[in-house]
Amino acid sequence: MENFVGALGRKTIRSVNRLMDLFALTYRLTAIVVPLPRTGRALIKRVIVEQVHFTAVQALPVIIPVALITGSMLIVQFSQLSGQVDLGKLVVLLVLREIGPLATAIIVILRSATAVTIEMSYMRVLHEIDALEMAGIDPLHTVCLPRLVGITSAIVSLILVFDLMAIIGGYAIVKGTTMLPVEGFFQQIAKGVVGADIAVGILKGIFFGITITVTCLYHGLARKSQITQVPVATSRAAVDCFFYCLVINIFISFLFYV
Amino acid sequence: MESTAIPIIDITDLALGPPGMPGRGGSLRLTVVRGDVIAIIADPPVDGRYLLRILATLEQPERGEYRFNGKIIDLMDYRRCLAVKRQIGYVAPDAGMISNRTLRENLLLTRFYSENDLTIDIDETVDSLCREAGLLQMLNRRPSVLSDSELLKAITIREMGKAPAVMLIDRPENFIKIDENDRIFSHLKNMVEFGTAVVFVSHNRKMTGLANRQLILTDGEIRTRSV
Repeated sequence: MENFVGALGRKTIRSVNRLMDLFALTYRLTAIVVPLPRTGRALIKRVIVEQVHFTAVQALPVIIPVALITGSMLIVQFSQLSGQVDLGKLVVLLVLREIGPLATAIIVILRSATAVTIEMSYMRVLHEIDALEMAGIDPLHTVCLPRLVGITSAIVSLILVFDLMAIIGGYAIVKGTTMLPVEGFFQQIAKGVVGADIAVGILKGIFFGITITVTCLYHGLARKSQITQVPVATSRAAVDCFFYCLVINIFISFLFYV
Repeated sequence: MESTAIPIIDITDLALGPPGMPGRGGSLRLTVVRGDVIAIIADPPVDGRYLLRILATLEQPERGEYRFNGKIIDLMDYRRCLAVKRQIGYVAPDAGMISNRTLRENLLLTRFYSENDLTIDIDETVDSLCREAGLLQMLNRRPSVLSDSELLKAITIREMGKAPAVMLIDRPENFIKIDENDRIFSHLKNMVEFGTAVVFVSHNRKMTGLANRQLILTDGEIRTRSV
């Protein structure tokens, strides 16, 4: 019993320490975002653009089909229900508020979070971080900050794309391929959407972006002596990102809608 | 008459503590002054590389106070070390190149950052050193295409391009010919004549014979020997 309690206590302390480290890294990064550092601004902007291209632009072929399938599926299923159910409002509730942000976060975690963790891990193992420091360059400015800005802005954009494709695209597919009664869909959506729904989506995007970036950087840049520690760090980062995003999602939803 | 010039690097009360083995060695004052050429002869060789990393502020010694140009440097805070690292050239197998940037971008990284301009190109000196080292046609390729000795030559050229106060080199005989006709060797000699200090780890007699001071490192104990 004592061993169990001791082990539980040590695990708890380690988890709390890790959370504190993540908050500390978040604070350090957000403190240098505004204003963007003067030195090396050109280099930083270039890495931001590269990161946005990788996270957002290259994810579009995945996000768009997933959004279309999700939107069509929801519209098909809910239109089968009786007329008492307000189809447009339901889609707004589910897509704009919950499914859109979460599905986008999951896709970004699967694509970008794992890639960033692996990249950072390899940079650590192959002494590329040391090489940056020997060049007098702060890795926080040229490696971490661009990824924070790039991934966060990419996620916010992708959530908006997901929501639009799910709603408009889903409607177009269902209207074009089925005989289901979807008249008045857009009027219902216009009645159902409030400003808070858009704001919540953007807020979730910002928090997901920060969480995913900081978690991946933390696991990636943790000291490693061997290549074999890289996959362990990557899977841990992906699982942590997913869990933290779920918690943040439910927290924001409670804050705004309960 | 002793020089009263401030040493470039001055580590007092130095005790080495290689990874996993703290507390070895006694107290020592290690200074590197302008124009010094110091050979580190280490047994085991890993201690020599470890000492180079301490001089480069990439590792912390078990004990010791590190001064650079007379100022105390807190090795725990990497941000305070950045300005020091900028003035130190570090050439070793564990000195990396950024793998997703071309060789040209790696050579220009410091200038990209400090001059805030991504359109600049390598200067004449770096260009001629690359030509001599056979790297000119690889400038637009990634470092992964280089062989080990080409990579070390590229790292040497990159570090020399910083015009550092100190060059730290691990086993230079592996990639630099001790020959006046070798551009990298003669450029290094010119740098020493203009005040750059060079500290290198080597067991090669011809190479260690070039030094004006030798540090013998045995089981964490350091002894100096003037040549």
